[in-house]
Amino acid sequence: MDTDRSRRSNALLEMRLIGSITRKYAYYFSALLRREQHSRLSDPISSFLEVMEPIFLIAVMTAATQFIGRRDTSPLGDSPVLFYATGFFFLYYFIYLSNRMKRSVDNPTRRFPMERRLDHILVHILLRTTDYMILGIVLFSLIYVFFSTGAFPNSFTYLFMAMISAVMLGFGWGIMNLVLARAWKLWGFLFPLVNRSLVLFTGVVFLVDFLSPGVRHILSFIPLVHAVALFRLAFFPNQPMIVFDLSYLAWTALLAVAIGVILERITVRSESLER
Amino acid sequence: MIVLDNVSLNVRDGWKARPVILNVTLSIPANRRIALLGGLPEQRNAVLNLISGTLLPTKGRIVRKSRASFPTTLTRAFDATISLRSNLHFVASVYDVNSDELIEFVTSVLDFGPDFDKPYQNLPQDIRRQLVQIVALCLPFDIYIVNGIFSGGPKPLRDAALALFDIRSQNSGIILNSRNMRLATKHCEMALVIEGNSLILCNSTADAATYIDIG
Repeated sequence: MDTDRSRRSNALLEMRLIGSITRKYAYYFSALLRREQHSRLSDPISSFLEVMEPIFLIAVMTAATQFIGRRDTSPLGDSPVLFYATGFFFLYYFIYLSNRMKRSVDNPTRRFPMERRLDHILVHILLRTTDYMILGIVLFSLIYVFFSTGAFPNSFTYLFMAMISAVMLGFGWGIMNLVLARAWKLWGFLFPLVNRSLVLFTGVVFLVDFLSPGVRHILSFIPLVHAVALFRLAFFPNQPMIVFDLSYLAWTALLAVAIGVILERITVRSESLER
Repeated sequence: MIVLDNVSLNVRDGWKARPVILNVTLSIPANRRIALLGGLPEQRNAVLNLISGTLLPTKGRIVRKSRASFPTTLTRAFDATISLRSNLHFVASVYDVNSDELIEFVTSVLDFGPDFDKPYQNLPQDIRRQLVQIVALCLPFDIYIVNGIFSGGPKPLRDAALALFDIRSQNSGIILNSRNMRLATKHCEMALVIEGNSLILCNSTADAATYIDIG
């Protein structure tokens, strides 16, 4: 009887302890979110410009295809605006997730003791995702009203899966670059250029499926090619499926998260003082 | 009690790693006033950051059985782009204290006027330094990590920091980073000495004098 009672009171104590730790972490995490949000609001112009980059590129590419006359039809669907929007919006979501991760993780002596690098990374991912969700709703609503009714997704499942894959790939790729940039300073400057060059290789401005089989085969090793195709599939049910491989995307996304977590754990102790 | 269990910390010096402390095992009592003496200034800072948890050890583990404050010179932990008010809200939230009371106390010490809601980076460096000291000493900790004795800045802030330090040193533990032996003797009863790459805990500041050669 007594043992039962003491076991029950122990379990109750443990639950209370877990509850208290969870509550404290929730307070701390929401405080981090609020501070980061305040910090970004203090420089609204740069935040605005960051988000506007894909919009600018969509406008430029659409204008180029419409008015210069290289091509007057969309590679997919009835609207070039929608085609480029689905490509640039998605790729830039990935680019900003991975690029800006470095900025969110600064020198450890610039943080309070309980602030951990992984928390900052999670805050960064959450805020970027919120930014891009708002941008996506506004952008695709405007395209729906002014250009094409195809801007309303046919499948929210594909949309959701594509966004999740971008988060997973962005997390892993961002941490890999964080580690590389610590070991090799020049990589910190090269990385954004490498990221932006993905526009040329991931089927954002063309369809990888329509390239020659040799090139197609090489490009199919880039996980983002599949992620962009999955995102497009949410808008274009007739998206060609020659290259697209969902299981390859899923495995590479999982691998990226695993590599990211392992690297984060391995290097967290070495993010020590620099002379 | 703060327990260092086989702790090493390396500093990156280009491609090489240079040890600051090596395989240190000791227990630091949380209810005593301890002077951190000896070693180079960067070594002392690194040790304070380790004890507070701002830095993680390269090897080994640190178990904090008491709440340790952040170092009182952690000015860079305050976000420079947001206002002092927002920074105080953040500190109050993460250390689980009433933010209104903290803000009220800070504003009662010095009238910041409109600067209180302007970016923190607009405040002069010496005011920022004193503010972090005051905020650290305002929060309830078992052991306070005080990096240097208070100097510079406006007199009301300096006086408040000293008054808070006196109150805290009566009821809580203190680790005071100082290379001044006289100050260490005045404020502390024990000493933590950096000797080469090791840390030695001395029961009195007089004992520490045998390890170091500073005035």
